[in-house]
Amino acid sequence: MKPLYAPLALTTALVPAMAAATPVTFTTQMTNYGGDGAYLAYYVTDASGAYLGSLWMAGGKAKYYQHLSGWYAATGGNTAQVDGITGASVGAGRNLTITLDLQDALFDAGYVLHVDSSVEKMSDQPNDVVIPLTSANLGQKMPGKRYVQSVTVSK
Amino acid sequence: MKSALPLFALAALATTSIFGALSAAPIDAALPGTAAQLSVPAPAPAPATETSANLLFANRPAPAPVTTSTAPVRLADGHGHGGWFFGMFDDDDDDDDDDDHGGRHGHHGDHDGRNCPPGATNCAQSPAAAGTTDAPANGLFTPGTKPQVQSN
Repeated sequence: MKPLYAPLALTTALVPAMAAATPVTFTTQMTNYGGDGAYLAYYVTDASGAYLGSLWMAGGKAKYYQHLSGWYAATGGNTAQVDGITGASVGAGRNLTITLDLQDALFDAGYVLHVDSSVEKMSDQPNDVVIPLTSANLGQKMPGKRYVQSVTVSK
Repeated sequence: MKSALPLFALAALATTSIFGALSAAPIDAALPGTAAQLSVPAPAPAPATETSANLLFANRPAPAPVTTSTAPVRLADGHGHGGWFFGMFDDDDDDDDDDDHGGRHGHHGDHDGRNCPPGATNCAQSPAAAGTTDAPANGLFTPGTKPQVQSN
């Protein structure tokens, strides 16, 4: 029985280290707003509203980022903030699922996910969705205000 | 018979002079309904402006008014064919080449950087697409990981 202690101890030590980062899935359902594809900016602030970083940018043309006003105010429109985390805009009625390998420290530490949205020929919607990143909110379908019907954060 | 010749010649000369003078006289005013008046172009109506809250593309210039000139109009945002157009409307109202159609209609190429707002940082350069480079080192991501995306 004693030879089993060493592997057991090693496994126990590794589990917390592996748990420091976990794939987190963001599922966004758009409303049928009747317009072109929406630009969406996903970014995180701390409890005081200070910008921490971007998680995703839906829409590849930098010249339109000024209409994602919350994100733009925080970043100055610096596209380096969304290098490698930019994809296509999202059409009305469509859904977008993004899976990111995020640090566990993001949860239950007062951080907040913001989603700004904007659509061609329609008005901008900063903070279309605002979700406190807490364990309690995981798996909950959080409603949006305008173009976003809901966002669900799950692990 | 001989005495009639000078009289006939005098009458012919007088007739020719009168008709010549009349045909050379200028016409000061056109009669109502003549072709000259109908060819004057009517004042061009003001172009319809968009009243919707188009904030996403608010920096697009207003449509050019209708004119009779054939000179092309240079668009500020480089729309149309080679940035020129000759008609009332631009030929592409959809600036989003990478929308939910997967960007298959991006036939005008990349206009990025032409409409950067003042003071914008790095606006002239589009960000690297997901999968082409690592996520930014902002402390949120596990280094070296790439996002997985699905859209339906």
